[in-house]
Parts: sequence; C-alpha cells; structure tokens
Amino acid sequence: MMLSERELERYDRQIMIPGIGIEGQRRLKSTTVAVVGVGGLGCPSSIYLAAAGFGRIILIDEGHFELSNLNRQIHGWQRDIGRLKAEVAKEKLTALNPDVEVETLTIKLTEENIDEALGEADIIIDGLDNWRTRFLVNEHCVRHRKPFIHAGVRALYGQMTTIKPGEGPCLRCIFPQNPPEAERFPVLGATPAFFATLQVMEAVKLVTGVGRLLVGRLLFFDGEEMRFEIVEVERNPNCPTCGNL
Amino acid sequence: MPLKVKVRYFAGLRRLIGLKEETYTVEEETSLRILLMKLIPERHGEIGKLWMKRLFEMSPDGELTPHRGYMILINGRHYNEYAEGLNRILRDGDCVSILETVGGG
Repeated sequence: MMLSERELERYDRQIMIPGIGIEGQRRLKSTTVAVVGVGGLGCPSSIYLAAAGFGRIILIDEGHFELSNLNRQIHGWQRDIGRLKAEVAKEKLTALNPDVEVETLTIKLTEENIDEALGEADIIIDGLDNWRTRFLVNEHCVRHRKPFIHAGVRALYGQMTTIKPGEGPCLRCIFPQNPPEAERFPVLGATPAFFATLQVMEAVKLVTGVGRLLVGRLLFFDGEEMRFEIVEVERNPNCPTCGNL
Repeated sequence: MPLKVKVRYFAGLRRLIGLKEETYTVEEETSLRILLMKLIPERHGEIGKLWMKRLFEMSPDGELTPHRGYMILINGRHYNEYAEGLNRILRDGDCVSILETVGGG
C-alpha cells in the first residue's frame, strides 16, 4: 500500500523509529484494528491508533455518552451527552486523521454476531468493561488465530497482556474462572488512558515486528505506588479454549 | 527437609501485608491451601484476619475458596490448572504470586 506525501509527512517522526520505517508504516496502513468498547480504554486507544495511521479502525459500542462517562471517555465532550459513542468517536478520529477509514458497529457482541463483526479485523483491542464479552472475544481470537490485546482497569490499578493464540496463553489459560463482574467501578481517567496507549504500542509492535511483545506476560501497574510488575504466565495445555492449538 | 517458598503480593494485598514479597520455610508435604489459610495469616497476626476476609469467600457448597477477584499463580500458572488445585503440594523454590485482577474499561 502506497503512502501519500501527506502521510509521509504526518508519520515522519515514527517512520524514523528503527524497525518501523516506510515499510512498517505501509503495514500499519494495511492493517484493520477493531476496538471493542469505546469507553475509558477505547476512546484513548482509538485516538492513538488513528494518529499512528492504522488504515482501518472498526469501533464497536452500542452505548450513548452519559455525564458520568466524561472523566475518562475522552471522545465524549459536554455537547456529546446522549449521542452514540461510536459515532462521536468516528467524527473525532476522522477530524484528527482523514487518511484513516473509521467504521462503526453500534451493536452488542454476542456468540451469534461476533464472527461477522470482527471478521475483517486483524487485531482486536480490548476496550471492554465486562469479562463475559472478553471471553467471547478471546474465543473468536483463538478460533481465527488473531491477536487480542487485553487490558482491565480499576481506580489507579490495572493489568494487561497480549494474546497470540498458539504462541502464548489465551485469556482462559490466565483466568480459568470468570472474575466477578462489577456494574459500577471506581476509576480515574488517567488509568485507562495509560493502559490504552500501551495497548496501541503493542499493536504497532505486532504489525511492525519491533521489540518484544507482552505475550505470556501479564503487566500490572499500581498507580498508588507508581509500580510496574510483570508476571510470567504460561499456556494451560488443558485449556478448554486454546488447548487444541 | 524444610523447603523455601516465595510469596509475592500485589496492589491492595501488598498494602495490607506491607511487603512486596516474603519467603516461607515450610515442611515437606505443605499444600498451597495451608500456606494461604494458615501460614500467611499466622505470621501476620491481626492483619491475617483481614487477609482471610479479603482473599476468601464461601463457595456455594459452603467451603472457603479464594475470591474470584484474585488470581493465585504457582510459578506462572493458575492454581486451578494443577490437578490438585489448592491441595497442590509446594516444592522447594516455588513462587506463589497473588494478584488482584480488574475488569473495568
């Protein structure tokens, strides 16, 4: 895929990164990323995905902006309250970077629609706030050998990992039981924003081959202590989701 | 012969215990269950009671079981992935990590 003069200039500073270059930027342009959930994680991740020049971004969220979302869901401005999150996000991403194609799916992911909804995505970015859908996405990614960049947050704390089915553990290897769901959880906007930017960094690394991915490693960040921890996690050979890969 | 087992704490549990990690010297045939439900709370006295309250919940069949919001790994693998689960016998050099998992987004 060719890059225009405008694109070469727009991405100049990241094209300078050893390992990215023009070839890496071309690859980003030909990659489709799905952001599942346009909330505290999905708003900032979609901004950095668009800014980095991922060619096609699919935003999936059926929700509307509410006032209590606005401390963290930064596509939602005061005037956007009541509007569909995915549609608002599309407007802002297109204004930021008209060279990326943004699509919206204002649906709730289910077992029935997930393969169609995520079918064209090369990489899936976790922007979800519930485990039930995360495991559904994990199963889709294992079925189609697709990378899934997971993150979850609460207050000033969170965890993330990159799942490459067959190469490292899937979400089910790491969490054999579904963790409890929380309807309304405390969160500072900076926490999901922090993880979202790391998710985008992983996505760029996946496409360009730069650096070492978080496959088989869970990264924890504790903002109260400003401490990072990495825990190695292994595949479960008897995993009901990926054990047969 | 006594064995050495390392325990690593994260987030809220680290603040509760006041340590990032500590080492336990345990007898042979000590299980993960004994470590979590006896040795750790005993060493930490009053805090041990809070530890029990926070880390465990009653399962539907009336048994104390680790709360699903925590993830307990032995050498990087969830304890449930070992056939013996909580009754897994600890080995010299094992590293037990107790993590809080969060699902917001």
